[in-house]
Amino acid sequence: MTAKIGQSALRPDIARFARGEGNYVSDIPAPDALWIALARSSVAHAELISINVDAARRVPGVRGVFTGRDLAGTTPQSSLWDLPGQNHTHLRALAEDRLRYAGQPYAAVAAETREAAVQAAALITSDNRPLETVGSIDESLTGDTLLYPEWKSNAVAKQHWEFGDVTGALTQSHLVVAERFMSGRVHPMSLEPRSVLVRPEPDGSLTIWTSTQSIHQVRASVAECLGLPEHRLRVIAPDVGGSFGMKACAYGEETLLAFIALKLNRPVRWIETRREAFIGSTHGRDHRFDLETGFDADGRITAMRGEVILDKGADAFGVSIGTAWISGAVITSVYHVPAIDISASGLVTNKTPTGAYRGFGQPEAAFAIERTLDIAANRLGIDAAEIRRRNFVPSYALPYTTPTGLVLDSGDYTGLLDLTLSRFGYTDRTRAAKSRAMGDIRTGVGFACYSEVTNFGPSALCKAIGVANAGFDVATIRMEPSGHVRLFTSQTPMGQGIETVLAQICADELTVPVEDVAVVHGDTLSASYTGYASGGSRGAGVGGASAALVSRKLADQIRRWGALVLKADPAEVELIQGGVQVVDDPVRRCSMAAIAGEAYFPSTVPEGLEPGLEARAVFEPSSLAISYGVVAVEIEVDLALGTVRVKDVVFGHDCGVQINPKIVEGQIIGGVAQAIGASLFETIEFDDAMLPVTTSLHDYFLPLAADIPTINLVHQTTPTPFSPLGVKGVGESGVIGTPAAIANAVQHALEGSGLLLTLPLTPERVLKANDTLR
Amino acid sequence: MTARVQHFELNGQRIECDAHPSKLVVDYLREDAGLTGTNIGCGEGVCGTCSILVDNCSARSCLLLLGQIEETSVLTIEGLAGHTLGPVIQDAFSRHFAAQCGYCTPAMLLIALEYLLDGTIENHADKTVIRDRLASVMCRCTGYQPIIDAIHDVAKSLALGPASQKLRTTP
Repeated sequence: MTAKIGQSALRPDIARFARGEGNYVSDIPAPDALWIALARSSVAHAELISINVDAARRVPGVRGVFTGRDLAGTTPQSSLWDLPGQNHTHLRALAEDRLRYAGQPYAAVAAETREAAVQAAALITSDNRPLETVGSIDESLTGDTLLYPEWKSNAVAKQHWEFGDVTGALTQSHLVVAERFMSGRVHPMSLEPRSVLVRPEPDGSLTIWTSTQSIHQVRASVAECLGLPEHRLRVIAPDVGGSFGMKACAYGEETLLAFIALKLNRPVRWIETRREAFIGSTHGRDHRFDLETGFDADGRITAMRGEVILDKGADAFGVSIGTAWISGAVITSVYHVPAIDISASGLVTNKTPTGAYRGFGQPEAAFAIERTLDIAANRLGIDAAEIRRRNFVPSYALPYTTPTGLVLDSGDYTGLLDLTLSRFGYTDRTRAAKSRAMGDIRTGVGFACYSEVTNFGPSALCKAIGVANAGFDVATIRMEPSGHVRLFTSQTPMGQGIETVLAQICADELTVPVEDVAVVHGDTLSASYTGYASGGSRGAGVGGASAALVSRKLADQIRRWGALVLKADPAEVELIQGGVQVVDDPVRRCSMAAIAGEAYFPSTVPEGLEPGLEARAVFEPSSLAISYGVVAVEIEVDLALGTVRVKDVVFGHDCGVQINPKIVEGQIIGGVAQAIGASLFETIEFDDAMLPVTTSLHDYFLPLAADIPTINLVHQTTPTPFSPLGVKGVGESGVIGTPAAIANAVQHALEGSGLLLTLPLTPERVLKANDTLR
Repeated sequence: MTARVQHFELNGQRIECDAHPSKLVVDYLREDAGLTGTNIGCGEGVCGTCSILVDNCSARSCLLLLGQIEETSVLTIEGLAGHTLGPVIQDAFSRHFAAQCGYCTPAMLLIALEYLLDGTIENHADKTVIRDRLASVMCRCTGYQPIIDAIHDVAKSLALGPASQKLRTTP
């Protein structure tokens, strides 16, 4: 099948999933493996005085019980983000002298059966001296109770951007909108929980199967923590059942299982339960954004002053305050803002750590700026679309460096806004909404724009912003003697279909059918090192770029070997339709198999070539690519119940060149569905003692099929100049603008009510806002 | 504890099973029968990831005990291709990109089969009805739309309704 760039080649893995042949970590047979179960803290904050493991050891089938003391000789896990002046938690996989959140593991059992391991772990008790809990950003700010006394405060790190005379501009502004925007704590909630299997190999090495999107980060983490050489560690990510950023960081369990496997010289496995996933896998969002935005009488932004604070939870591992950093960095979105004073920080609290979740600080920022623009438009009597038009960075000014230093690379913001709103029927619907009030049901219409930081990221930028790992991507490629192709990538499929996208790119460059390209992934044995794996919406834009570059290198070899077969000048031949032929002379043509045959079984080797067909290429992005879009929604609010229903979504976006449009569509629609969840239903809650109360899908409401309307897309294609294929990322687009669009629409439905400034828009919040109306 | 032999049909095969009747069906399928296509999402009967068909009715295999499936006919994803409609649904899922990470996919396909065979439904191609039925399985990746499209496509092409009665009796 031809599968050029821009065609929706089918994903072969979907057929495999549909036959029940998915291969997740928990599907990998390991009958000889011991099961690991963890004892987790049932209190939010306490000194850990002693641990009683005697009863656990006596459970039949138990082969080992481990506590923090056993791990004392190991190196604490480091943080991927390391900003100047950052405080580090230096935690190991098991708590040592202090418990800092309910759910923190402090002991582990290895047993012959899962039942024995679970039973034994349940018998482990600890003697604790309770400590005051730090339950909120405000409590954390006071510093009355410190999670890490040696820090002298609860702050992990802080970043500050300043540009222009903000105080002067705000003082002279016609209008200042100053509000506190809250994006609640949510759970990324991959349906496949995390899972780890570690097998000691006969040669003394370790193989680690883990459900991750970052195989090399896991390898680096285990190697660093246990002092093992990386060539003795093999990390494999088989099928990953959803990830969404939650599986981007290395976790303590990977190190812990490797440690136990080596200690007991047995394979060991752990499968997270859903309850554990709720308390032990990183949460998302939990940002508070105080934003003051000044406007002149025409609605043009004069300045912004803001402070975003992330509730980091108890441990700054993984991405540290990264989400707050990005939130601050993108607050000006696609708008021209003459002066800014923005700070971003993260504070520790006695909760499960927050980490990466699809959107990574950007939905939080979009919520603040897009709600602000609607509030300002309303107060100034300007149409919501018009106020945005007046503030967009114009196309002719692109590439444009924002005051926080990001480069808006390409696009036509006004054009896409107008196109999307016209497709949605914005004007008519806005007018009609009021007349459609029926009983307690009100209709609301709203929209929001968004920008998405993609193709993360230039290595120099990574360093500058405190990301320890570089952002280049390496691909290697081999044409086998039969003329078929293998691409080796360090990008990790987790449902997004990146392997199909990469196969398409190679097939397109080499002019071969897509079936003739196999993509090898998810294995540190075959994949070249990558610092950042799949994350930051970089799979197609960065991973795809290195796949294109390496294919071009291979194509050059193929062309020269083909010229030899055809006895032609290499300058006279071209790759076309799966072979090499003399330009404009289709009779003089040879197949890939013939060329590969010549390259692997050569009679002579031309000058400058070596036998075989292999290449390696590195793509180092010179800049980020900023995708952009507009989300328009119609909603219905039930004023009696406070419930909100999303009735219709039109989603306009520009992610540059689309390699596989159906995959792009799937990323957006899936993202919108997640955003509907985070906007209306999903919230992780704690009680007064900071014990988690949402530890089951009975209490945490993922959107169901009946909650998601049909989502229609509008495409605009402006290639980025910063990727060889013109591709921008799209993986996070769906989640960024949607919460703000929904809130704007609900606010429209509740005209005159109190402002909606906190996500999710639970019935309680909607009713409360509406009560101020009466 | 003496094991009691149980009988049931699994993907068209008669099974004699001496596992304990209190064993969860999903554990039996994955551990004893080696059928790892049935995935576990929550283990508490909410997400529907582990759905299987028991006598053509969907059931959460994480809540079901072996003793409860005695003398029933069980269909898991591994047996779907053996059903008349199986390959048609599988093909539609592929064509519509109706899966991303694949974890809920086996359950979605079985729910689709159950739905398409449900003779009480007047118009199987009604997307609102499809949406309502799909609400029994959570998907975190796709936003459901391509899954709905895939099922709608099959329903339309088969112009189901009366024909479903016939299909129900043709395994």
